[in-house]
Amino acid sequence: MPKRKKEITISVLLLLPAVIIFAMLIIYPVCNTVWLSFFKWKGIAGQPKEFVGIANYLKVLTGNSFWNSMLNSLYFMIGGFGILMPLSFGLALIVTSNVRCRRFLKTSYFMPVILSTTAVALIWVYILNPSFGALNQFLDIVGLSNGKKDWLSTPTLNVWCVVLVNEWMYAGYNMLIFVAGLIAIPDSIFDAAKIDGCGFWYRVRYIILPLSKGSFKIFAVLCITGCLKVFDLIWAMTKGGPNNVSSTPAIMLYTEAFTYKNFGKSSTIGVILLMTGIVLSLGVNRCLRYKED
Amino acid sequence: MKGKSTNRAGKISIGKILTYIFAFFWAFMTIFPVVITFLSSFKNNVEINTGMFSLPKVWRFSNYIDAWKLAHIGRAVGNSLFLSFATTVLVTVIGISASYILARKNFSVVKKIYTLFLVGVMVPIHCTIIPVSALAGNIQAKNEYWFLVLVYTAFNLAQAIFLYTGFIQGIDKEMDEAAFMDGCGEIHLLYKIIFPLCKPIIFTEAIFVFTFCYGELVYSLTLLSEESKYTMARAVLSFTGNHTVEYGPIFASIIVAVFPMLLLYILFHEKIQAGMMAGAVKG
Amino acid sequence: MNRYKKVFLSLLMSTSLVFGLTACSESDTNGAADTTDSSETSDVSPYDVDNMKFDNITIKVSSKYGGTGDNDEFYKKRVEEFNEMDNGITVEMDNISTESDYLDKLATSFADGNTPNVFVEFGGSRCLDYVQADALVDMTPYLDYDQEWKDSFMSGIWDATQYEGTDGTWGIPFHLYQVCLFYNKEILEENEIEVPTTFDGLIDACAKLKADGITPFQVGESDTYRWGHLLNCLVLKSYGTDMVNNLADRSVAYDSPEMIKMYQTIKDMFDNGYLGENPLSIDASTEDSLFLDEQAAFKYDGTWFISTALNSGIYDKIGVVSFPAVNEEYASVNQGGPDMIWYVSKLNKTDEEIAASVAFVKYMACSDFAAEHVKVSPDTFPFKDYALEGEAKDCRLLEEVQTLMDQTTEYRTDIQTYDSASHMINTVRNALQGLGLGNSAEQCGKEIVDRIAEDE
Repeated sequence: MPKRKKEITISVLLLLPAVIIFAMLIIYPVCNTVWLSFFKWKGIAGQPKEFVGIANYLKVLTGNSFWNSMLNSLYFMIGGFGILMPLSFGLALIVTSNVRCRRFLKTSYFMPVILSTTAVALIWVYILNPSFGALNQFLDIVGLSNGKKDWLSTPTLNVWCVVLVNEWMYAGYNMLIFVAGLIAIPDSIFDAAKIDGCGFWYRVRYIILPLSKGSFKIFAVLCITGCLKVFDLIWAMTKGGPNNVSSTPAIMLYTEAFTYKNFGKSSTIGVILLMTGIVLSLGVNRCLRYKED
Repeated sequence: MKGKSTNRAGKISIGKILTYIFAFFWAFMTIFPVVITFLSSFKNNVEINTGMFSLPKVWRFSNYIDAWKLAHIGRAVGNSLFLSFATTVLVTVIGISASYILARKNFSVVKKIYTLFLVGVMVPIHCTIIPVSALAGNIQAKNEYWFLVLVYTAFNLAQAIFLYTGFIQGIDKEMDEAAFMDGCGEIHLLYKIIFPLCKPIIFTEAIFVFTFCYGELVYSLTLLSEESKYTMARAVLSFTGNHTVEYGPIFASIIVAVFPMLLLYILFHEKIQAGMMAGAVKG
Repeated sequence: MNRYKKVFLSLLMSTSLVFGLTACSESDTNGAADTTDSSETSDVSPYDVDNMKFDNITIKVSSKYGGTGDNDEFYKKRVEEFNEMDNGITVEMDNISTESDYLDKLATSFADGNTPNVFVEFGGSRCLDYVQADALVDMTPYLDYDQEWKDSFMSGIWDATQYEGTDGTWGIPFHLYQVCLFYNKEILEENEIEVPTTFDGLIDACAKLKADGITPFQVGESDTYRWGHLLNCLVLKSYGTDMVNNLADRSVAYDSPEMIKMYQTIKDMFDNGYLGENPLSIDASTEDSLFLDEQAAFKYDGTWFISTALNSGIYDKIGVVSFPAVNEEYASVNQGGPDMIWYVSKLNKTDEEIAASVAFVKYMACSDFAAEHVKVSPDTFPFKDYALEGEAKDCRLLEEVQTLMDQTTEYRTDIQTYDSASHMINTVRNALQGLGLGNSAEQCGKEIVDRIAEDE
């Protein structure tokens, strides 16, 4: 079967570069993390690593701080599916429709990402400042003074503030995922609908949504993993504080390793995150697949 | 394009007005931080910390001079652009090749490899620093751009393959068969037919990869030590001292860095749009 | 510095002999001193790094001087001067000024075995792991060898580099700080307030200011070290230095009545608004700005604040005193000490690299360094005499601070630095933030004790 052999050769050749890079820089570190999660290690090369079995896992899973940070990740997920998903899908519909100034709109929607987390965090921290921030001043002006809050220092509320800033920042980013899906829908389908005189909502409900299922699936996986890994924005805005109330698993993972030098424990958090991500993503995949049938 | 029929009818519906209101409200929401960043780039700390929204009393162009001279932001932006370009090209070429196989072939290993890549999307970056840094040390690749490009590629490859594979699966398989009938080889099929069809997703992912590399700090910090190789994010750090932060020059640096990125975004997005035009006959 | 220019060629050989290592094969051919590990048989000591000649050696130095301020520029210039000297040593700098990024890179380098030859750290518990892993060079013999160098340091600054159970000096301090009380003269005068000398006096002043509608302190506690420093000052000024040891060896618990009283003091100050409006939402940089914008009357901060103040419009209005004593007996005990310490790594390093590293450290940590530094930018150093006479840049605040430093009899830096558990500094600081979220002083103490238990 020379044809099949040729097919295999080509497949291997095309896959190989990706697999090599991936194995070297992702799979190997991940294996290392899994291995390290069963050890106690202070992070000094050449020092013996002490095997502790599943002690790290017990420690992490029985500690309050981990579950608190998982809860915060859950808030991010709720925000991701409840706010970010409709928002970015809506924006995608807007920029692929025939509104005026489309180029201006789609550029401005993406601006927060271009500005970088540093700038975005600085500006929002300032807006949310309780003493002289714009938000509280605005509430004063519109006569809602009792709605004033210390936005970034009140437990739970501060996480939600960061969640909202996160959705604001990444709406334009995720919009692109939906745009890529939307523009792949052949116009012939729309033309048919147009002839039938279908309204806008009808088209969204019966044509666009079903045909965008792939985009939603991609969004779902990226959202889940992104929320489990969320680090940059919350680190820049609250550093996980005050008193760790806005910490996330990724922040815990980071501080355990680089501040407390508990590299074993940190790896454990990494493994748990990875496992959670895999389970949830597979779950979402399965969900969307069943609906398809 | 979508929403065309409402337009064709020429009616000004409430829905349309609401859409416009929302579209421009959101544009305002996302544009105003740019304005604040711009204004802040002319202020000093006291002005920023005590009145971020007001106009600067004195326009301190010196912040830009500081950014340029002290942090060498021009060079840093150049470095970041180079790294981002190299990574984007590598991710696209390697990613699309792999995705073609993953989407089209049904060998039993293919599915397993795809799942493996999917796992890659979930790896927290901080887990990988020490093994990767040790690897760089062992092969004398610290301070080398090519290694950093490989690291960035690895981190973006998973998402790229995830997106590309999904997209290619959506392309009609009949296209392939027709091509094979015409005597096309696989490589030819991939680069002459699949690749152009994937333009929307390729440029979408290119925007993602580019923004990731452009602002990346963790790896550029741990792997690079030579000052002449500093990336944008790394150079901006120099305005944070041990006990002080100089926000003015930080904002100035950000403004400098925004321009090339903005330009590229518009450029790339035009390509996505072009893909959209090519993919359909306009009615 | 002329010392560096003297050259003694045979040094390398004896170095390797005395270290008892075979890394340098030339030592075998040198029959002059073969059996003993004492330097007396040889003319030159392995610890006499100033007079060694190095053969094109490159050492990597990590510092926090990655900023663009005067201090940072001075540091870089000084290193370049060292590179220009004809000593065969080339220094490659890696300067990162942001604390967490610096630690990321340092921790990574220790974990992957590619540490810099020389690096800056705070000392204390942050370096304990490295000492225990035998990754650092003991500086004692080098100090003992060069008595002149040793004597140039102030006394009482070595505690952060020494650990119970090991007899070594594991680092060389080269920068000194003290937490002082800065105040705005004009605001105090306008409100007819005397500069407080006792803590009760300070509280009275705060009450009066608050009644007059002026913010006494505006603390930027979103950077957790701010209340951490307040706690350090309170503990040292209430109980003296013994308390530090007692807390470290757990003979006094973090939830003991003595400590609860401290948390309560902070909480009361917070509740009364003496620490400013919403301190948890303000960072240290904003704190600086607000004080310099005359929106607060007082500010406790390290002496590093001088250089920030120097560039502001209200420099002339700023006064400084020691942090007021809670207990008169401990008035001369202060939070302070070295906050920049050079460490020499010996993890995967050759003897020659180590010797070169020490030579570099000696160049960077000496009274000459300090004397040159104050000409460029006012700052404080742990050396006995680095004269200010005329040459130093505008130094009124610096002179005042130096007077305060001279009055100090004992320094302790962050209390948790003396703890064997490295998480303590973050644990305590985070728990203090809890006070601002409505936790009681007792809850604060309990939180710390619980975390200690969890870690053991």
